[in-house]
Amino acid sequence: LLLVGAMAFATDGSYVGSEKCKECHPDLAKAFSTNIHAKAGEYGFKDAGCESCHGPASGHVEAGDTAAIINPAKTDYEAVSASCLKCHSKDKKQVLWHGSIHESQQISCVACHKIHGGNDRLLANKLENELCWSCHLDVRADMFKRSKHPMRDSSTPTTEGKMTCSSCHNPHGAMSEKLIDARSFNDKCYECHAEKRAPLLWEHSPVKEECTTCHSAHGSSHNKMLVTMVPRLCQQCHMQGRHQTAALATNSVLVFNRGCLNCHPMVHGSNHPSGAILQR
Amino acid sequence: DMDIMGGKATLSGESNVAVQQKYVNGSEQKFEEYRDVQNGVVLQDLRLRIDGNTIPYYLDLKVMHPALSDEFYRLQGGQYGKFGIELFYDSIPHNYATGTLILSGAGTDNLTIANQIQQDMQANELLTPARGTNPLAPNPQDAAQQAITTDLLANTNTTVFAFKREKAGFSVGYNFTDDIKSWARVTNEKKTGTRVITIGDYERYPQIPGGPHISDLFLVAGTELAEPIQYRTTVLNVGTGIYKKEWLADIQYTFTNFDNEDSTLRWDNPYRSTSISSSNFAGATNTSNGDFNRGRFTMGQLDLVPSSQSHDITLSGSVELPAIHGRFTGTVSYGMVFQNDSFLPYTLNAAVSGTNVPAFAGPANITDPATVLATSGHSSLNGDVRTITQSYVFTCKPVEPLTVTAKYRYYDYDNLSDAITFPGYAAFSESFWRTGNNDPRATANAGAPSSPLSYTRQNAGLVVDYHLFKPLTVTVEGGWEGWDRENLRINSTDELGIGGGFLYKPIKAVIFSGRYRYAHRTVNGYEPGNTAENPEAVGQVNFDWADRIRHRVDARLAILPVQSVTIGVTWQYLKDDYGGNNPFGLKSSESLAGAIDVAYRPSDIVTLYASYVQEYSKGAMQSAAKDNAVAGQNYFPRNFWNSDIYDKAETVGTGVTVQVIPGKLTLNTSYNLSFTKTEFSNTNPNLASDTLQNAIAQAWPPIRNRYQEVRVDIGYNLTKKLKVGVAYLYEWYKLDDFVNTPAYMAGLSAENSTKFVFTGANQYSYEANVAGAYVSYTF
Repeated sequence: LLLVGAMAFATDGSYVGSEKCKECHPDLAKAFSTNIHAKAGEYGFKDAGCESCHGPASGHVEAGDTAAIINPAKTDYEAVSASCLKCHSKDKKQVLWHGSIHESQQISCVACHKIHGGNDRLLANKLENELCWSCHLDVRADMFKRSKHPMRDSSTPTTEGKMTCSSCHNPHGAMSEKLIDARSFNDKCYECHAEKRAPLLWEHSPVKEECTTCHSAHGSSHNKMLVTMVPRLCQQCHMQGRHQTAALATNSVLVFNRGCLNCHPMVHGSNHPSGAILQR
Repeated sequence: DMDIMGGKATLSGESNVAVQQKYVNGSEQKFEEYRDVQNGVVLQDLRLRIDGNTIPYYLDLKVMHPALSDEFYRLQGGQYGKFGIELFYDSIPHNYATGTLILSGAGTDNLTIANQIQQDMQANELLTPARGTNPLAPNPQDAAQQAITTDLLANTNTTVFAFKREKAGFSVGYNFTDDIKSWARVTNEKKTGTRVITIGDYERYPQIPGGPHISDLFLVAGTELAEPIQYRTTVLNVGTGIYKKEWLADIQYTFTNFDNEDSTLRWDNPYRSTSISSSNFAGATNTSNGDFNRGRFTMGQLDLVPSSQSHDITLSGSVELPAIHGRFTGTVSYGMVFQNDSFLPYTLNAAVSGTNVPAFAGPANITDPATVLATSGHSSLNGDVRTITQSYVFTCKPVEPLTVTAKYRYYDYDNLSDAITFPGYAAFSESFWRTGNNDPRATANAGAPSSPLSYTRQNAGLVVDYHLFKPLTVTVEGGWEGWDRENLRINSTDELGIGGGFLYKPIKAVIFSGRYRYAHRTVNGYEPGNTAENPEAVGQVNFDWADRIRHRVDARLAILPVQSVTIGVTWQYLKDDYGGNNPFGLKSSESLAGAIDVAYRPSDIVTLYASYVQEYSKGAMQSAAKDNAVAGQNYFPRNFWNSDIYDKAETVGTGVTVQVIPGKLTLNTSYNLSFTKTEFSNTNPNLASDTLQNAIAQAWPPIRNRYQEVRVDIGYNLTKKLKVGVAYLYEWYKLDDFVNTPAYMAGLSAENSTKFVFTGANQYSYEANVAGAYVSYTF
C-alpha cells in the first residue's frame, strides 16, 4: 500500500498503485521520473508513489472524475502540510514549521512549491526571490533603492542575483526572530561579514548587539544600507562633545561626504591603542 | 530529456547564450554594482543534469556567467539517499565608484606621496597664531596650498574603488542509514580590492584670543584613502545526526578562520614633510599643553580589522509529542571567538614625545609597540568572547481548534577580553597626546580605559491560535525580551508585549488577516549623563536602550474576485516612542507601508500584473548645542534644536506577458519605477540671536533617488527545445544627495577644509541601455 503521507487526507476508496496512474498519465509520469519525489524510495520511503499525495485513486480510476482524486493545490492548507510533513518532518529545516508565521497565515507547502515542477527545490517560481516578493512587496521595493544586497534576479545576463531570501531566512520556521536562520541577527551577518565578528579593543556597542540598529538589511534609501542619514544617525545617540551637538549646516565637514565618518571611520570598532574614539 | 547509458539515466538541461551591447552614461560602477555586463557573446547559463533511472546516481552541473566577474559554477553529484557531494565557486563583484586618490599605492598597505609635494605644502603652512582674528579669511598660504592640491588632483589618474568576493567550497554528505547522516563542508572566501576610508584631523583655533574655550573654531584636515581589502575566510563545518520521523538529534561543529593580510594602512600626510610637536601660544585660555597646532605630522597609521578565529559547537534535537499533537525542539550552542593581533604603536609620529606626553615618566619611544606594552601592560587584546545560545520551541494542538506555541531563547555574549587602561593616545595621528577618553575625568589624566562589552539577551513568547469558527481564527500573543549588559551605561531593559490578531477566510477566494501588538520596554540602571560612566549629556538616552512604547499593526487581504484576477493588499504600521521624559536623542519613529498587487489573466495568452508600494517613515530627534556658560550646566533650552527626518518611497511595477502566437512567439515586458525622497525639518524656535551659533537650525535640501527600469523580451520557439529572442534593458538611476561633494572642498566648508582632500568617489547616477539577442536550448 502506498500509505506514506496519505493518511492526512480523509478520502474514501482504495489504493491502486502508481503503475495504474501511468496508464492514463504517461507524459506526467515521464516528467516526474526525474523529480526528487520519484526517488523517495532511496530516502527510506519505499512505498511512496502518486497516491502518497493524491490519496486513494480507485474512485478516480473507476469514474474518471477529477473530483474523485485529491488535488493538494485545492485542499485545506493543514491537510496539505500535514501530508508533506509525514515525510519531511525528518528534515531539520522543516521541524519548526508548526507555529511558524507562515503556517499561522494558513500558507500551505504548495503555495510555494510546485511538486510536479522542474525548478530547483520544486519552487513555484524559477526565481526564489520573486516567489517571496509576490507577498512581500515592500521587500521587493527595497531592491530598487540606493543601497541593497545583491538580490535582484539572475535570469538574464544583465541581472545580479547573488543572494536569495533563504540566504538569511528559513521560510519554514526558525529559532530566531524574523525567520533568521542563525543564532542571532549578528551571527547571520557574520557569515558573509566575518571581519565584524572579532572582539576589538574599542567597541561600539550597537555593532556587537545588533547590526540592524544602524542598518536596514533589505535595502535603504541611504548610503551603506543605513536606517537614516549620517550625521543624524550618530547624533541620535551622541551628545558628548560640542561638535556632536551642533545643528550643522550642509557645508560642514560633519555633514558632507562621509559625515562623522570623515574623522571616525572605524565605526565598527578599532583595535588601535590610539583608536579610543574610533578614529584609527 | 533524453535517455542515455542505454536508458539507465536521463540527461536534461538547458543553455542560454546571448550577444549583447551596452551603452552606459554616467557611473558604470553603480550600474554594475554587483554584476558584470560585458559586450559581445555571453554564456548566460548552462545546466546539465543526469538522473539515474535504473541506477541510483545523479549529477548536476550549473554554470552562470562563465569568465565574467560574477561567474558561478556548481557541481553536485551522488547516490540518491546515500551520499552527495558538492563543489562550487562563486564570484561576486562589488563596484563602488571612480575617484581620484592623490596618494600612490592604492590596494597596498602603504599610501605615499612625493616628498617634494609635502615640502611645498609645508612651506605654505599657516599656523594658528598667524591666522589673525578670522581663521576663515582668505590668505596667500591657503591659496598656495589650494593651487598645489588642485593641480595634483587634475593630474592624477582616477582609481576605481571596488572589491570582489571569490568563494569556493566543497561539501560531502553521507547517510549511514536512512536515519543517520553526517556531513562535512569547507568553504574558502577571498575578498580583495579597495574601498574608501577617510582619516580626518583638525586644528583648534581660538576665535577670540583669551576668550572662552567654547569660542574655539576648528580648521579641518584629512585625506580620503583607499582601504586595502585582503580578507580570506575559511569555514569548516562538520556534523552528524539521527533523523527519525518521531525525533531527531544532531551535533555540529564550525570553525571559522578570518585572516586579513593587510591589517594596517600607513599613509603620508600630504601637507607635512616633517613632524613637529603641537604647540600652544600666548593668549590661549585652554592651557593644556599643545592643544592647538596639532596637525604637524608626516605619516599616519590605521589599524584595519584584525584576524580572528571562532569555534562553535551546536546540539539540536526535536521530538514529536503525539499525545498532544505537539513537538518540542531545542538547540544549545557554545561559541568562542579569539583575536590576538599585536597592538600597533601609539603613533608613527615621533614628535609625540617629551614634554607633550605628560603621562609618560621619562623618555619613551612613542613609535615603538614596546612602549604600548610598557605603559599598559599589554601587547595585544587577548580578545576572547564566549557565547552560549539556547533556543526552545514547543508547539501543540491539544484540541482541534487550539494551537499553542511557546518559545524561549537565551543568548549570552560574554566578552572575556582584557580590560586595558592606556595612559593616553594620539588620536588622528596628530602631534598631540590626549590623556582622557573624552569623559569628564579627562582633566584628572584618567587615561583611556577600554571596556569589553558583554550582554545577555533573552526572549520568551507565547502564541495561542484558536479556530473560533471554521473561517475565523483568532490569535492572542504575549512576549518578553530582556537584556542585561556589562560595562555599559545601562544595566538592563525589559520589554513586555501583548497582542492579538485574526485570520478570516469566509470563502476560498478571500483571506483577510490582521494583527496588533503593543509593547513597552522599561529601563533599569541607565547612568545619568555627564558622569564618568556616562559622558553623554544628561537627558540623552540611546534609542536602542531607551524606554520604548511600541505599537505595531499588520494587515493583509488577498482576494480572487473572479478566476482570472488576483488582488493582494498589505499594510503595516509601526510607531515607537522613545525615552519617556528624557529630552534628547531619537524621540519617536513612525513608519507606514502599504502595497497593492493585481494580477489579471484575461485569457490563456495574456497575463498582466501591476503593483504599487508606498512607504513613509518619520524619525524625530532632539538635541542641544553644548554650552558651558554656567559651570556644570551645558544644555539650555535656548539651544535645543529638533530634526525630523521624513523618508518617502514609492515603487511601481507593471508587466505583461503575451503569447502573440501561442506556443511560439512570446512578448514579455516589465517596467519598474522607484522614487525615494528624504526631507529634513530642522528647527529651533528660539531667536538666532539668543542661541549658540551651533544651535541655529539649518535648512538641508532633500535627498532623492530615482530609478527606472524597462525590460523587453521577445522570444520565439523555433522548436519545443530551441528558442531565440531579443532582449532590451533600459536603466536610469539618478541620485541627488547634497553630501556628495567634489574631491576638494577648499574654502567652501564651514571649517576651512583647505587641508582636507576627498576622492570624489561618490557619483552614482547613470543611464544605461543594453540590447541583445539570445539562443536558448532546453533538452
